[in-house]
Amino acid sequence: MTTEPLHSVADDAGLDALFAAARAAEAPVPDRLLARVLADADAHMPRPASVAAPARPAASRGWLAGVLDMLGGRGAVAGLAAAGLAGVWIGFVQPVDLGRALLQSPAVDAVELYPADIDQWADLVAPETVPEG
Amino acid sequence: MMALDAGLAAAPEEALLRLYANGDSLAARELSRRFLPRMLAYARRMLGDADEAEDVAQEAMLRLWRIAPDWRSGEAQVSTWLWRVVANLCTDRLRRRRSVALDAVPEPEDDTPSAYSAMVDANRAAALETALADLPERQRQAVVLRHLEGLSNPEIAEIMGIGVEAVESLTARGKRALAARLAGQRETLGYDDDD
Repeated sequence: MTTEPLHSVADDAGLDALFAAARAAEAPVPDRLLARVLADADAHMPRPASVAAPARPAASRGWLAGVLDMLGGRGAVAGLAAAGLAGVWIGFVQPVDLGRALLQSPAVDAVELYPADIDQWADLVAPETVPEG
Repeated sequence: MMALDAGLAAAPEEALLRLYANGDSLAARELSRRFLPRMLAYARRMLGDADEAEDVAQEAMLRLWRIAPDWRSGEAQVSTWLWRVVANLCTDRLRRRRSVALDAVPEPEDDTPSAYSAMVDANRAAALETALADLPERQRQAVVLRHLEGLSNPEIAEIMGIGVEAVESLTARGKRALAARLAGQRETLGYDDDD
């Protein structure tokens, strides 16, 4: 820092030198203040969503969407009327109260294409293919 | 994701704020590095009290952390916004004071015996700070923002909520007042003998 003699404090050069000296003489930020500021930053920092919410099961998007996925997606069943789809669905799932099933809430946990009770399949399978024992 | 400090040092302030809002604590450190010294220096000069100045600087940065998630890009400069916050915080404190206590004028830290030039610099700094503290608040504010913080007149106008001409008028009056107060300190300020 060179200290040049000032001719007059009244002119800009005179004052500028004083401003420069004042800037240079500024005390640094105290460590304790910086620590408090960074602690505030940490306390208020939004946490990144590192654990994203798990993708919802396809069926929970609505029973029709779940059926479409299982049948190969929208492309595969393009053109089929919803009633036709319902018929395919109805044919797989039994015994079911169809009225209630069709009005069922979209929030289903699973779309059952195969009945849980294996015995009900027996009627549809040729006797000779039923394994013995 | 850890960003290198060197990279952050070159990042625009709005990008840093966005990084912070997305969970980057290094961005907060860089924002603090950039803004805290200026906020603190300004508050020290406006309030004349180191402890109060620290409180104000911390409060201003706290408001920045709080607004970060909601910061809308392109509407305002982060620095201008922050300047306005700290300016208003200082104004609020000054208005709450019954009498302005200017005895705690910030002084240069090093007052050990030293070479002549360093002593003159220290005297100049001290003389200016004392004279600044004597200015009316608005003149002091305009002079500090213009000649110590280096802000442009339009930006100062935005911070102070006045027109550019009003800023220039305040600055000019403030500098005339400073010159008048400092005129009697030739020796300590290192005037040459011609004057």
